[in-house]
Amino acid sequence: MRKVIIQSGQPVYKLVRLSQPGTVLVRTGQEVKVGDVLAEAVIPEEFQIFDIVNHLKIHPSRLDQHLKRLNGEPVSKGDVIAQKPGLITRIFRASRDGRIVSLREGRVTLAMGEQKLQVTAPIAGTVVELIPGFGAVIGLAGSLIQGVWSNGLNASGSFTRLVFDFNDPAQRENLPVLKDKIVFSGAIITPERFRLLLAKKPAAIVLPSLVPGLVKDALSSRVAVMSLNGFGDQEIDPFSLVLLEKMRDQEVFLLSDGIGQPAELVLPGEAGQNSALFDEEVTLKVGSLVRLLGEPYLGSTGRVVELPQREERFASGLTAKAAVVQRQDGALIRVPVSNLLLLDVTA
Amino acid sequence: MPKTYLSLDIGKSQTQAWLFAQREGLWAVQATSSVPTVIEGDGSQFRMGIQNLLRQIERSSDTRLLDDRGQITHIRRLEGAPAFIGLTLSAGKPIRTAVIGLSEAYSIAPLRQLVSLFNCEVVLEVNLQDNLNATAQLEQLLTSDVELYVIGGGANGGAQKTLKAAIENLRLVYHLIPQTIRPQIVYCGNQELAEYAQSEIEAGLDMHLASNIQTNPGHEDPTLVWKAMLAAFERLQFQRIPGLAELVNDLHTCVIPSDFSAGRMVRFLEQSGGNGKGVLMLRIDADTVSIIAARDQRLNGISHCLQVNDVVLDMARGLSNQLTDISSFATYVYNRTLFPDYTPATLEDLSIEQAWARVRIREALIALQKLDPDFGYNPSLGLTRAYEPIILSGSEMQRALPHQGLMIALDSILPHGITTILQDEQQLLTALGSLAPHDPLLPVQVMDTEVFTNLATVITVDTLASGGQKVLQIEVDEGEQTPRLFHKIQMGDLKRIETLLHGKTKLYLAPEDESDVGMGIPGLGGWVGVMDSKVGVVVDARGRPLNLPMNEIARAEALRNWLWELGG
Repeated sequence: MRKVIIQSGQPVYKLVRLSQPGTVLVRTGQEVKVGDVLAEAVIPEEFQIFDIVNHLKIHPSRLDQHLKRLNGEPVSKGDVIAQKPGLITRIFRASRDGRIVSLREGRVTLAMGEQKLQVTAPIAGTVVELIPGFGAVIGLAGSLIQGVWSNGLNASGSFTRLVFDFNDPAQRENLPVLKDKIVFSGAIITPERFRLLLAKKPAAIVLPSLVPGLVKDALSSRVAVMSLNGFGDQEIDPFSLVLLEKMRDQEVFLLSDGIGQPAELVLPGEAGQNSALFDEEVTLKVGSLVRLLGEPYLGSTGRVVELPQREERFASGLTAKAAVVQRQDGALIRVPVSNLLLLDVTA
Repeated sequence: MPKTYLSLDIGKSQTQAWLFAQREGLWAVQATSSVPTVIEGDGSQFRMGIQNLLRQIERSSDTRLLDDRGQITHIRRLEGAPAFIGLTLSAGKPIRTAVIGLSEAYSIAPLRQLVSLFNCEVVLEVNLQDNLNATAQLEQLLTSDVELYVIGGGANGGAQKTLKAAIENLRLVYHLIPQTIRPQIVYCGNQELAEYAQSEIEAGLDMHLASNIQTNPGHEDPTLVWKAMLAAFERLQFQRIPGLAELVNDLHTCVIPSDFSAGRMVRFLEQSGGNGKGVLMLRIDADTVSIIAARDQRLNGISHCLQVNDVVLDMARGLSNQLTDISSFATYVYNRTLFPDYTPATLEDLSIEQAWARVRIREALIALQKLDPDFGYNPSLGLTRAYEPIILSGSEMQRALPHQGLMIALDSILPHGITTILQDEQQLLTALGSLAPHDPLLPVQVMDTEVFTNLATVITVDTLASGGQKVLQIEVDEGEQTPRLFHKIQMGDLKRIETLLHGKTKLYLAPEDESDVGMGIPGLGGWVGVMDSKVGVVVDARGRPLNLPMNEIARAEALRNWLWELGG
C-alpha cells in the first residue's frame, strides 16, 4: 500500500545518479555539501564524419597514402588528417581539438571537444552508499514531508508560509518578498495567481494540491513546484501543517524524484528515535492514519477504526475491500481500502 | 501426480500466476494467484514477491515450486515441479526504440508494426532516403537515448551504400557512448550485409540477426524477426529489472512480452476460426490499453498510454452519464494517474472512470489504425471491418459490471454487423500464449472449457433512416414450448434481448430495405443462433457515428438510458 512520510527526526536518503556510466568522485562516509560533484561522465561534445574517398576524390586502394593520422590519434584544431596533393591540393583538417575515433570504408570520424555530465548533491549529508559508475546515496536526518507530485525540479531556500488574500484587490500589488524562498500557499492557486507568484522569483512553490488548469504551467515552469496531496482543491492535513510551521524561516530543501513524480520537503536536523535499521514496516491496520483520495472527502484525513474482512458494495455498485475511517470531524465513513493513502506520521 | 505447467505474468501493477494441470487427459486451470508487482530496487523485493506468489500457488495445489526452506531454487532440482514455466512481462517503461530503414513504405512502416508487439516506444525513425548527412544521422542516434535499434531495409542483393553508412554509425554509437543499458541491435535488412553488420558493429551478444523482413518487393513478414526481437527484449529486461536474469535462470525459462504472448493466442483463434473474420483483443488496464488484432493471417498490436490534456478531457466528459463540472472531471482523471488502483466508489466517480476508459480505448484504436492502415477503424464510424470474437480483459473490465464493460466497449469500438463479445476475466490469453509452444494441446483444451465469459452477441444496424423510423424486426424463437417474441427496432434504439440459459436462442432478423445487419447486403436478413451470455443479445441501432444530443443534460440522460437498457 502506498504511503507518505510526514515526520521529524526521520532518516532521509537521496539517490543521485548519472544517466550514463562515469566516475564516482566520492567515497562512503564522506560529508558532502550542496553542489558538490558526486559523479561525472566525460563524453565528446560533437562528432564529425568526413568521407575522404568521395570528397577528396581518392581511389579507395590508395587511401593509406593520403591519410596523415591514424585511428585513435588525438588531433588539434587545424591538423591535417588527409591530403591529396596535385595542382590544387585538397586537404581535410580538424576543425577542433579531438580524436579520431573511426577510420573505415574511406570515412573518418572525429570526436571533438568534451562535455562533462555531472551530478551534484542537492542537499548536504553523508555518502551512505555508492552506486559504482553512476553515483551515490546521500543520507541525513531531519524533518520530512513527502508530497505526491512535482515538476521535476529541485530547490532550496528559506521556507515561508504565504498568508495573503488573493481575492482582495487592495492587496494585489502587495505580495511580500519571496525571492529565493520556498513558498507554501494554502490558497487556491490559479494560473493567474501562479504568474503573480513567479514574478516574485521564489525558489519553489509548494501547494496542498494543484488545480488541473495549472498543470501545464507548473510543468513548464523553471521554478520548482510541488503538490502535497495531488490535484483539485484539497486542504493541507494538520500533520503536515505542524511540520511546515517548524520549517518556517529555516533553510529547507525540495527534492524531486522527476517530472510528474513525488517530491519531498526536507529540513535537515537532528536524528530522532527512528533508525532505518529498526524501522517497522508501516502497514494499514486499525489505528492507522490515512488520507482519503476520493470525493466527497478528497484530501481529508482520518483514522482507521475497522477493517472488515469481506468485500463491500459501494454506491457505484462496485465491490471492494473496505475500511471504516473516523474522520477528524468524528464522522464514520466506509471507503475502499484502495482509496486510502497511508500516513506515516508517528513521532 | 498430474503433469503441470505454470505461467507467470509480471504485469504493471500485479504479478499473476496460473497453474494448469492435466487430469484424465484434459488440461484445466488448477490454481491462480496474484501479488503486487515490485521491480524497483536491488532485486530482493522482486524475488520476494515472486516467492510469495509461488508459495500461494503451492498452497492451493500439490505442485512443488519452492525448496524446503521456502526459497526459489533451480526448478529442475524439485521433484514434481511443473514441466515448464512460462514467463511474460509488461511491467516497466516501454523500450525506447529506433527504427532504421531504407524507405517509409517497405521498411520503416513494417518495422514500426514489428516493434509494437514488443512493448516498444519508437523514439527515433531514420529513413535512409532522407539524405541526412552522416554527421547529422550520428547526432540523431546519439541524442535519442535509444535502448533498441532495429535496422531493416533493402532487398537481398540490393543497394548497400546508405545501409553501410548507418551500420558504421551504429558501431560508433554502440562503442563510444557509455550507457546505463547496453543497447540491443536487431538487424533484419539486406541479408548480404548481415555478416558485415555483425562484424562491423562488434556488439557480441547484443547483436541479433534475423532474416530480411522484406521477403519480396512489397511483401514483408515480421514473423521472421520475432525470434531476434524476443532475444533482444530479454537481454534488455535483464538489465532493466534487477533479479530478473536470476529468476529466469532458476525457473529455466525465458521472458517474453505479455502482448506478444497474448498475440500468439489471438493469432491462433483467428486461424482456427474459419469465419473469415479477424479476432480482436483489448486489454484495458489502469494506465494502458493494449490492442491485438489478427486478421488475414497478420498480427498487429499496440500498447497505448493516453496523456491527459484538455482535448481528451473534454471528449471524455462528453461521454459521461453524470453531469460533472470540468474541474471535478479533470481533478478525478489527474488524481487517477497518481493513484491508478483507485476504486470509483460513487456513481459520479464511476461515470468519469468509464467515460475516460471509452476515450482511452478510442485513442488506442486510432493509434493501431495509424500503425496498420488495413486494421479498419474510423473514429466516427467505428470498427468497419469484421472481427469476431472481440475479447475484453484487464483491470478496468474486471471491476466493471458485465453490462458496464460491454457498454464501454460498444461506445468506443462501435462495431458493425454481428459479433460476439467475450471477456477474459482471468487474463488467460497471456498465460496460454506463454505455454502454447511447449504443449499446443493445453491452450486448445483450456479454451474448450469455456474459460471466457460470453458477454453478449451484438447486432449492429447500419442504416440511413432517421430517428424513430423502424429499421429492423426481430423474431425470437426460444423453443416450441414458448410463444415467439417479436421486437420492433427503431433508429436510435439500443435494445437488449435476453438469451436462454444453457441453450441456444434463435433470432430471425428482418431488416428494412436500407438496413444492413451484417448479412452481406442491406435488407438481407436471416436466422441467427446465439449462445447464452451474461448480457444477452444487444441490438445497436444508434447509428454510426453515434448520434449524441448536443445538450449535455440530454446527452448524459441518453447515455444513462442506454446503460439502463443493458442492465441498470
